[in-house]
Amino acid sequence: MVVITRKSLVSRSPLSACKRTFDFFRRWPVIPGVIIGCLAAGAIFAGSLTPYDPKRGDLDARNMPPVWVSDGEWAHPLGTDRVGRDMFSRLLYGARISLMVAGVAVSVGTITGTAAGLVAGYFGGLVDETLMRLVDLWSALPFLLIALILAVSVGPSLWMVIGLLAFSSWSAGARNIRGDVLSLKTRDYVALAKVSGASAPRIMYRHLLPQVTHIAIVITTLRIGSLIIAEAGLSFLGVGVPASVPTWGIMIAEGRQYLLTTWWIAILPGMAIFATVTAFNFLGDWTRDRLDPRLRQLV
Amino acid sequence: MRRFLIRRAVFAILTLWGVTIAVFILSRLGPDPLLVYVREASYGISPETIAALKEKWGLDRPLIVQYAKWVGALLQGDLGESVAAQRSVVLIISEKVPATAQLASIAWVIATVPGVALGVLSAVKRGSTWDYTARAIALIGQATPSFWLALVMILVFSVQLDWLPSATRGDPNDPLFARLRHFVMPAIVLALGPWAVYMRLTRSSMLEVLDTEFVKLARAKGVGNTMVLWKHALRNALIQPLTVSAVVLASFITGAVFVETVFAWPGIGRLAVQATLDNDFPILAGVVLMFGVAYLALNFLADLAYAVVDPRIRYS
Repeated sequence: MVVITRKSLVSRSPLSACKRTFDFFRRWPVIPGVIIGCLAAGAIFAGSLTPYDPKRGDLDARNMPPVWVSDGEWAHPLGTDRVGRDMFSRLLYGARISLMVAGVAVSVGTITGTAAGLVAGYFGGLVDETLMRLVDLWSALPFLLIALILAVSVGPSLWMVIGLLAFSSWSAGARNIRGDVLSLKTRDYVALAKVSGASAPRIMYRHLLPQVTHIAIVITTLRIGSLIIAEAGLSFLGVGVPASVPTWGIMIAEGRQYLLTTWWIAILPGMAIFATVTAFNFLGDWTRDRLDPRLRQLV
Repeated sequence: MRRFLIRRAVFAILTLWGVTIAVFILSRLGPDPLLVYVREASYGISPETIAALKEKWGLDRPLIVQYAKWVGALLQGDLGESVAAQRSVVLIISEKVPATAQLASIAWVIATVPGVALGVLSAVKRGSTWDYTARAIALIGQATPSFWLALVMILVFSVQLDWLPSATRGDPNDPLFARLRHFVMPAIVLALGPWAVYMRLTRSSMLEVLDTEFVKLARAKGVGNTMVLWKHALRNALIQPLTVSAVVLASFITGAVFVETVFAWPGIGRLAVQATLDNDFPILAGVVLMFGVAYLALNFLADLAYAVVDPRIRYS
């Protein structure tokens, strides 16, 4: 007689251990989480992580290559730029700007978009029509070109960039949330709330908002990556954050002329952007698949 | 159909009107309206000159009059005169349009044809090497800033390998092949993001369609695989990518600003950046309005294209 034990059923071969690890990484966004966590920690504690001032150059240490290239030194692990500013410090402080701009912009955009979607969907009629036409108008506005006009009329500033990116990111949320609210508001529990005398703001806040929060979360996480790229792009063109502030986009713009000799000045910040945006996109895909796979058709 | 066209036209006019209001308000948000015409206004310029300049551009009038005059001129097709070049804006823009249009159309072909094809392939052979490769490229395409990718490509293909020219459109007298070489890198950089969008959307909607009853029925009837894929499935799966076509084409105008800046391409995008550096508001406003018109036109074409692909859609 063969005795089947629990042990013999669950194979413990090294191959299946590999597969389990692989499945675990597929199931949970560990790597993106680690990247974003490290980046956030680096951005917050940049001051104590590096001894160098990201804005102060050291003319004795100009154009030093990263440590893995010959002549590189551990004093400046990622090298220095044309005026001897430490690349690693600048990347950390750049992460601070990128994450702050994208974070604030996406929060403001999401809150506005959610509110607009709730109001449009709940009230319907003229309010809905007006708000939705506004959403359509919004998508016809070229935000990069608007940034150029603002850079000329007002001058580049951190708050201008945040405001602009926030303005550019409310419409997707508004459209999707409105769609869901349209069907949600016909449910019985909403009618019941109405009958028992709940006011419109209360119904929207207590009864409808919790039903659409997941859409807001998914759109937010999917959007952060593109906002980081947009911020870097504005800085690259010189119409974003003022050039005295170290940001990834400005670093790429500065390194661009010296691509042939000191390539790392332009290449490293780009890699930082790529890693960050990929991490956020993965996280966004994961939250979407978990919370609402219908949103897969979003661009 | 007629009602649809009228509605569309009315909406387009309202949108353009909205764009003019937005542009005007934005240009007057700053501390000194002269800034949108002159760099460093008030710096070393005598008060008399400032007053004369303000009078020249009508900046001493009430805002509503300024706006009305500007829109009045726009309605007559007059975008004003460039401050830096002292030439008609319409003329300057029309000189730059061909370069951008050529680049964008080549990029669009590069984005759509392989994008849709790989999307189909990736859906049909789900989980294969093809699928993973295509998805990996799409991932890179969505997470790489185009201006940085352009620099990396220049570093690799122009500097290290010396295969392709790194900037400009080339000499118009060169043979066609030599001129085409100039298009390779800018077009690929411009196309990569939209390519990723097409590929991902085609893949996901193809997966959905392949799972439907009518595809199963077609297979059960014994329709050949090629026919099922290309006629039954793809035609339905194309609707999703089509909906975003206008957005994708519009993104070329934004993308062109970066690509043209890095590759020194003499088009609209570079014109806009140059106008920003020169504080040349008439040119900037002209480019924004041109963008608005192009976007609305493309949107309209995309709407018409739906009806061709999907006969169930009837505009009424």
